[in-house]
Amino acid sequence: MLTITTLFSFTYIELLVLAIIFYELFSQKGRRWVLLLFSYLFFYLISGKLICYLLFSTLSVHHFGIWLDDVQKEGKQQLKAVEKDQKKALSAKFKKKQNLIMGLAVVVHIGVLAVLKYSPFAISNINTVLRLLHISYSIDIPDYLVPIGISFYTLQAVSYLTDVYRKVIPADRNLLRLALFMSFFPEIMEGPICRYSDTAHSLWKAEKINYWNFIAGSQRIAFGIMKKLIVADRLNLFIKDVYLNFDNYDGFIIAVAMVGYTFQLYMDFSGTIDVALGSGQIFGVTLPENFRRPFFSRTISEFWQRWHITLGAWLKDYIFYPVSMSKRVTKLSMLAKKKYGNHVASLVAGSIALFCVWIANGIWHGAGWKYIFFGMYHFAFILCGNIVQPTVIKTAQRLHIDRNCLWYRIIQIIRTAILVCIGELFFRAHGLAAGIKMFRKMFTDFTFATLRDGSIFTFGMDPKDYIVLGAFALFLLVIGIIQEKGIIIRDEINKKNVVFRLAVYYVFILIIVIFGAYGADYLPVNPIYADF
Amino acid sequence: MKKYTKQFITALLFMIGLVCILLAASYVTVPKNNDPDSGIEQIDANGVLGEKPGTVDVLFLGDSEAHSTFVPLRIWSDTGYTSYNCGTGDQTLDYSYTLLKRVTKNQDLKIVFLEANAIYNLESKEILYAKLCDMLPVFRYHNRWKTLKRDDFTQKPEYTWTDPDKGYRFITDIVPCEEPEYLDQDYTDEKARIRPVNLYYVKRIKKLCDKKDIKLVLISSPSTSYFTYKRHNRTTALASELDCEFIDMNMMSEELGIDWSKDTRDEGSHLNYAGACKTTDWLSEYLTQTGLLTNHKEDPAYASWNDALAVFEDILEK
Repeated sequence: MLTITTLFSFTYIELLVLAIIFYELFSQKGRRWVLLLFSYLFFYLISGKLICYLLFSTLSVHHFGIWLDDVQKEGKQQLKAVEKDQKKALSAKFKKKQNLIMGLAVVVHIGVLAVLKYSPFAISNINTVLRLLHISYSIDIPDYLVPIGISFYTLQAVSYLTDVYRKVIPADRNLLRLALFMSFFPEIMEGPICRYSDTAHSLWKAEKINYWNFIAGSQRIAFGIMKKLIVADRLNLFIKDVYLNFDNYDGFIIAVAMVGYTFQLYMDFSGTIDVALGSGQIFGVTLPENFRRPFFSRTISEFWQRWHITLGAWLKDYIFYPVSMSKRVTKLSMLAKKKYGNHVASLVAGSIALFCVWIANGIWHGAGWKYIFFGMYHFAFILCGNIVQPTVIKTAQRLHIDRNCLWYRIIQIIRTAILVCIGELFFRAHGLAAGIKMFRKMFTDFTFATLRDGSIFTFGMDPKDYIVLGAFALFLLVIGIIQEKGIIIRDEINKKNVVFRLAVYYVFILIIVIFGAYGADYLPVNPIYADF
Repeated sequence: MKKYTKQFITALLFMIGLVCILLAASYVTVPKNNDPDSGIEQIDANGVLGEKPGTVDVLFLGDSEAHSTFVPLRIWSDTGYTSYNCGTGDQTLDYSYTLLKRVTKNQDLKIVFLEANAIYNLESKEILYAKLCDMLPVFRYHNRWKTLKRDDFTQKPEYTWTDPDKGYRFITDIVPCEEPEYLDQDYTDEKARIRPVNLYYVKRIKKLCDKKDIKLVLISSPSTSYFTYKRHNRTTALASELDCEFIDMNMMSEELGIDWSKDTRDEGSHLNYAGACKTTDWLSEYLTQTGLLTNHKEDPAYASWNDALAVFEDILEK
């Protein structure tokens, strides 16, 4: 079986090239099968027999979708036939039936995820409680093999079913189309988390590969490989060592590792997403963007609108809105409005929903207290932001500070980046306790000694590695500034003459080949988000 | 049609340009020597490239079993035959083939021993990547950008260094084997499976040996961890298919006199120097019996081998 590092290996490229060749050999109908077969082949190569979970999920989504659809249609027909005074009762009856089906579908899908991913964590906590109560009984902690990508395709499944339930989309009776939506190989491992309405039909169209799509897709893949190989994998040795043996390092090294890990995670995750989006584009499928220059964010709230966008959008649509618009929260909000006014009323509804979103966000990332802390950390900052925002605006007005001037924005961006880095420190640490110790060390044991004696350059990265990282960060900054101005760089390159374009491609490829952290001197690194 | 032709020609020209650029980058990044500071891969094994052309008669290929079992300088001391151990940890067969090709460019080998463990234990992963590295070494040596000097842009590679131990991994540690009765396992007629990729490379190695008129011998080092009758049966059949000899040293434990309480460095997986001396002594005798080799001990052209032996013996005395 292949290791999942193969997304950035020649094996993935081989698979992609083969998929492209076979795709081009067949008619539209055959092309759909090629995509599905290659998707299952890829999943089998990285997960082996655990592919049965994906197959089960696909069949179950198909079945529940049709069931919901049938009930909705039956309800509609019966409603037409009954008298006006009976409509309300009948409608409620069918609503209840739909709720039951939806509830069952969610229990099945989230249940599989919960058992495989979260039951060991839950049981270990139960055992801790039993121990604290001096009860000698303990439950054996199960050790399940979890299929790669389950957190991603489960969210896709739930979003599909919810959209059918909400009648946003009709249920798909075509199992092949649904299977393709659930398993499309470039995005099965790390997302982006797609909606049925975004990708299912463009996948099903299976259009012939277009020259410009091929070029643009390849450019995107190259950029993703560049991020992953030049930055993320280069940082790996240093980050891994510092986080594992933080007791041996001073606060300065920990601070460098904290910033380094945030950079690594961004490059790793967005690089993988670039490869997925580029691969999708080659097949004429526009997968949703997952990043929009998150480190230009001025607040934590904005950061999460630019980072892992598809997860944020999923949580907003399927948790935030349902919670904030639920009867109980609306009632509470009305009560607050009467007593304390509009601002507090909106805060109450928003905060309850936000709390649920961030608990879900934390838990989605993994089974552990540090992930729950990670979620609550961001919840706290977003909530504080919401609370103090009117005061900040008023104060700025009184002091005649233009909140959109450059220096103010830069301060906000730096502040947000620091807060994000601290959050990622806890996210990466080996447990919450380790995260707290590391955070404390940055204040109690801070010294530049390792920088002065040069020993910082002996922990897996030498000065030349730091120069490469610095140069790449600068390159990303320039690209980011250009993109923030609304300029699409790839379009600009494609407008130039062929000599210029070729020169750009050659330089990029040569940079990846020369400065990539691959081969005998480095360890291949699994894409980080594949573990979540 | 015209549009497709134009696109095809553009793509072709792009690929040609890319290959030229990568060849130029390979020229610059490839190590210009094979000494330990040069940045060359698998330094000990590639030390063979620094041997004088036409002076090495016997070559050992394989994984850690190979570089732990055969002591070239002991063979030299006993017989005056020159050999080099190109075994490397976790060696894949595609790399064994690459090494053989490299060595046969300058050496007139008479016998090649392929340690059979690599045929079963290891999968030749990432073949495409390995091939790419062979064709365009910049993929293997790209990290040398950190140490490039002006000469790297103009100089051609010239290999002058050789490993003082001739590729053998000298370890004297003793970690006894707790279950030395490994041959008592249930006998079976079944045969182990050889992965198609590995079978392909064994055949390529044999073909290259035939082309260069080299005798290929499959050999299994004594190992309580890796020996199974299934493997023994399959290797015997493979040797028959390839029309070459197979020596299974596991089946000769009494003849060799391996004492698993003293002759292993890691509980039976690999031999230590004491164990390697026993297998090497047997092999020296075997080499003599083939009648294919010449004793070069008195030949002044081989004086460096006597110097290397003197250094090796000094280390042994210490």
